Amino acid sequence: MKKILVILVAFALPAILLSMKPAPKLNVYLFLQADCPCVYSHKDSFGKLLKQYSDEVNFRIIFEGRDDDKLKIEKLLTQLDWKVPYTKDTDRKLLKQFKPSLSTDCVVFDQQSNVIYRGTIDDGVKNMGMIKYFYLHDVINAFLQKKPIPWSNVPGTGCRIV
Amino acid sequence: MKTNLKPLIFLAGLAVIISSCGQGGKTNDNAKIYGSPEATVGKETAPANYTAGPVAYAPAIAPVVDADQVSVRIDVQHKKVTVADGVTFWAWIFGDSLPGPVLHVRMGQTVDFVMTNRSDETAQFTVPMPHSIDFHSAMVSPSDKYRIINSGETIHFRWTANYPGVFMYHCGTPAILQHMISGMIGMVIVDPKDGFPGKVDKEFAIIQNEFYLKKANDSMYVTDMESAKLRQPAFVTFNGKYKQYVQHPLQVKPGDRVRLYVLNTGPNLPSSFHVVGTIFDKVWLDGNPDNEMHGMQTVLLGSSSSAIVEFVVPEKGTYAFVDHNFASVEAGAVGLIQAK
Repeated sequence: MKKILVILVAFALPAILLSMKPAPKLNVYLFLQADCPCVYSHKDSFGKLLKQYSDEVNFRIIFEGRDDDKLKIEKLLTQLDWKVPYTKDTDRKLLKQFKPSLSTDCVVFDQQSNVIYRGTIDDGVKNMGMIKYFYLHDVINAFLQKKPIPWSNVPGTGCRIV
Repeated sequence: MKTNLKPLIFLAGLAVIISSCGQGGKTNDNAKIYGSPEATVGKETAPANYTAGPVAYAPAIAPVVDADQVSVRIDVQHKKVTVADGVTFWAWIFGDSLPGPVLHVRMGQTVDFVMTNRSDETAQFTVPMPHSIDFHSAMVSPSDKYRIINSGETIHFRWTANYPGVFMYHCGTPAILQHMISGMIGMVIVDPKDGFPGKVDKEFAIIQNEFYLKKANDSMYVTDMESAKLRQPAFVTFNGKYKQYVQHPLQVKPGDRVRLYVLNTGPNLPSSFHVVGTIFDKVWLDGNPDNEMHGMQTVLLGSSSSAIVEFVVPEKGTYAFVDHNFASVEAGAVGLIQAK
């Protein structure tokens, strides 16, 4: 019996280790107020990132609206068709820590909490929907490829977080 | 003596052809001015008033300013607006009312426009929001002049009125449907260079729009994107208030020639604009006298379409004006014109 167990462990362990995903190296917090419709301008672009980098990046939506409740938040995420964890920043600790100014600002930071990018997702809203610069994608891609980060701060367009 | 007149006849004909070129019918067509200097955006202290220039709130129409260039301010604010008894919501508006002010200019005039996004003034009640303005009456680069400005910012740009007519303006910030159902709509009237042909006794601006609202709590409503996407308005109104001209009809006299500047801002539904008891003896589609039609019972206006309609009030009485899509009448698109 003991022999069988050893054999099983010997075969199963490598398979288990192989199937384990590496811990995300990068964190992306997207700050929103559920009442601000500006997020719809980034529905497709941010949604694409969620699908493309879900294994390597820890995405999280941080809700900062005073009236944001579970019902409102989950309705918005359903409308956006985003499967992503969220936090209601009730005591505004994350707001104070990361200092976004607008709803739809995102903050990218590494495992040591070093902020490597703060700003908008893309510039589509300034170009009638056409994305010329996909800032967040470029930042994530550069970090994962161990290349120089092309952007550190790009102000966006969105509802002021109050 | 025999004279050869053929060259003279040819030259005279040529002169007639050349002189007729560039005359665009009844609108005193002049050279068009396309584009304008790049818009500027910055931070400025906003004045006390939300508007300046030749603007008035419908049904009123401000007189045209007699100048080649006219300065116009239409600021954006968030304000509580009552649509019907007991139905109040936080609207996003141009100027100080919903719909926004009617701007009245003349063909060839250059509008020196300024707009401050003052949505941050009510930050304790509503989220300060990016906004923009899209003038259908202008021929300029939308990516420059109609750019989105954040709360607290001011945009300056110019445009020249190249065509006469009745035009819409609205906020063009995504989601545009959300901004339009929140109240960001208005009208521009551009007169032909010598004014609209013919004299009238009374004239009124009529702006039709839909409201998509749902109850938020006992005292307030909020906009409802779901019913907007389904095109199921809670209210359809003339000049922003449910059936306001039923209780307070527009006043005319028997025999008056009346001119209505009618704009359907939508955002979703067409309007079959009709005045019960008379016939439009003159209709200028989109408000351009070059597009003249006669003897019409109803004028069909898609979203952002307009017309100037003229009719004679045949006798003493009360005349209803409606969107002859009668579901819209049930939702409020009815008013009265009283002749006494």
